[in-house]
Amino acid sequence: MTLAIGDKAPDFELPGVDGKNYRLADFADKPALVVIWSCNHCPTVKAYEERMVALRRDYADQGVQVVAFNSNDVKRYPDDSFDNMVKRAKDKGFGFPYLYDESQQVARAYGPAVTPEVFLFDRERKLVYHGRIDDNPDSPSAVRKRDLRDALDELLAGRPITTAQTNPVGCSVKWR
Amino acid sequence: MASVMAVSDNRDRADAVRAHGRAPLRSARRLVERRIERYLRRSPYRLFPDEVVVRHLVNRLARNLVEHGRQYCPCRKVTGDRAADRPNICPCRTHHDEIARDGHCECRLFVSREFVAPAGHGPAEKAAAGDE
Repeated sequence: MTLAIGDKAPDFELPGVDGKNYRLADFADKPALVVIWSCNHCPTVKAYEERMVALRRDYADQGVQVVAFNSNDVKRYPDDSFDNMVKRAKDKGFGFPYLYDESQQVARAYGPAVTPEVFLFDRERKLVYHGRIDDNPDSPSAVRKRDLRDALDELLAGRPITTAQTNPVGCSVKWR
Repeated sequence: MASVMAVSDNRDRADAVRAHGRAPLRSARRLVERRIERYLRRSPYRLFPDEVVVRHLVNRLARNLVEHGRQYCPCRKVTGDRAADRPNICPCRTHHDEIARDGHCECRLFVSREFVAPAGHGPAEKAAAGDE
């Protein structure tokens, strides 16, 4: 099942590309948590990587935490291996935890269908926005709806989220 | 179906060469759209009910057509081995099984008539469609 708006973020404990293990509680002091289901191979993720890095950079001073997960089956998609995650995070300068969900248990708890797919949680870790980053994977300059950023701005300003759900765009999560 | 696909492949190859020669991406996009429309007319499926998703998939198919000469599935790896990649020319050889199982093909371009796309996805879609 996929999380519904208002659901609490399921806990996790996963290894990151920096050699540390991360749990949900590690981000307890952050006013907002942006969870992005991601991977290394998907062309749509690649199209969004700069925007993900920019998001982290632009909202860091407001305490927003970005975390990315990769749950893809590495047997079918060797490009999505942990070693390649380390390399990708370094090459692209992610600056946020990029966690490896090898067993896919965390993915089954959150319920993403594609990469990239966003789950935005408030301070209490209730889901307030779910779906896509924006409405144009192919052309950042042609984006008309900055769905995730708009939801984040509303959350941080204490306003209701205007659009809480959108259809995420990308490649399907590669289940075992 | 096999003979239709073979004719379609030969025509596709010629079209791809033409598309690659001029204003490649725009031409390729139009070609992909025409092929999708043609396929939908004779198939039991419909497009994923979200314009942004479909537009992106069409763009990726067009890009593959320009870069690889074939309309490869945007969600599958293009190995460069023509024989190995052939089953992944959209619509993929496995798309019927995928749609029967999940309600959508691998990249979610084609979906079943019963498919319901809430913003939640994955196993929840199957539950919503009453498959579980």
